[in-house]
Amino acid sequence: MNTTGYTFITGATSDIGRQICLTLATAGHCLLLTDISEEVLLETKAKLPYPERHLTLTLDLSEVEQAEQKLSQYIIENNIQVVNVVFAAGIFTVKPLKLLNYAFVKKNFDIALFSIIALSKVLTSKKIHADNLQGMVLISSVSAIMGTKGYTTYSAVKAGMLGLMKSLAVELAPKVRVNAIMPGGVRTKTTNFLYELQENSNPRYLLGDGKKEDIANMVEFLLSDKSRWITGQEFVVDGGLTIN
Amino acid sequence: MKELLGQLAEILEVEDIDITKKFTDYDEFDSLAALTILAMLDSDYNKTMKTSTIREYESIEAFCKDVLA
Repeated sequence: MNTTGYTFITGATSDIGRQICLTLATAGHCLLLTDISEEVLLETKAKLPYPERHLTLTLDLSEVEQAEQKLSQYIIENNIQVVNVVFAAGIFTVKPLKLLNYAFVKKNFDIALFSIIALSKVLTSKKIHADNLQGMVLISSVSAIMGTKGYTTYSAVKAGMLGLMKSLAVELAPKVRVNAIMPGGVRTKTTNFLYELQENSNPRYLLGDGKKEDIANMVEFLLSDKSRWITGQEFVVDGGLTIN
Repeated sequence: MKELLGQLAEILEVEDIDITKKFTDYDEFDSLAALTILAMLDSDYNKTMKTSTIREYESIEAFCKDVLA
């Protein structure tokens, strides 16, 4: 039996996902990385400290039921304990209302919201798992509480995560602490095109441009004992954007 | 090019795109349309561009050639 307690991360190969992996691995976590591409997962894992400590699992979160089944099978077959989970998977794109269609919206909700319910079920099930889950962090966004043109689906998904987080926190207390982080805009591969618009930093960010590390550090805190009396909360990490 | 023109027609809400025209000749070309084009270039064509560059193209044909180059 593998007695290591793993931290499970979805969306592990995105820019912010990778940084979360790096920060947590540096802090001593053993990780179970998941994302859609095995090749990119292995590449991400290889760059982490002590790569041999970490595991990878390919999951296509747009196929929610299959992903749920695959994760439970993986946990049973490998007899592993997941003690923390970070839900960082999602799609970001700008699309005006007139270009939205049900398939696009559903895919966004499946990957970033519905899959959280399905995977949380697996990770808290006594039948599948020894029920050792302690910490859960959802990566939402300031878009959950701010409107932006072309962000309707993204805002809806991110706001949905906040409601889900609160009810999960109540339902899973006191064993599991559940919190959400709402990052402001951070320049990554996914959001890079937005930054081509402007020469200078957006002055609404009082503390200047944010970094991936700023988000990952909050994840580390929320999964550590230092936050042991915190659950069901929304943490805005945005350099002052939403108060300005 | 047909697929790209189809996407642009959808964004600009027209039946067909006149490739000799500039983006700014279309009424529907506003900041959100420009941003939508940028997002599409990024996700479907792996290209990054500035909105000002899109605005400055002499014709949509020239834009398409650059995107598909």
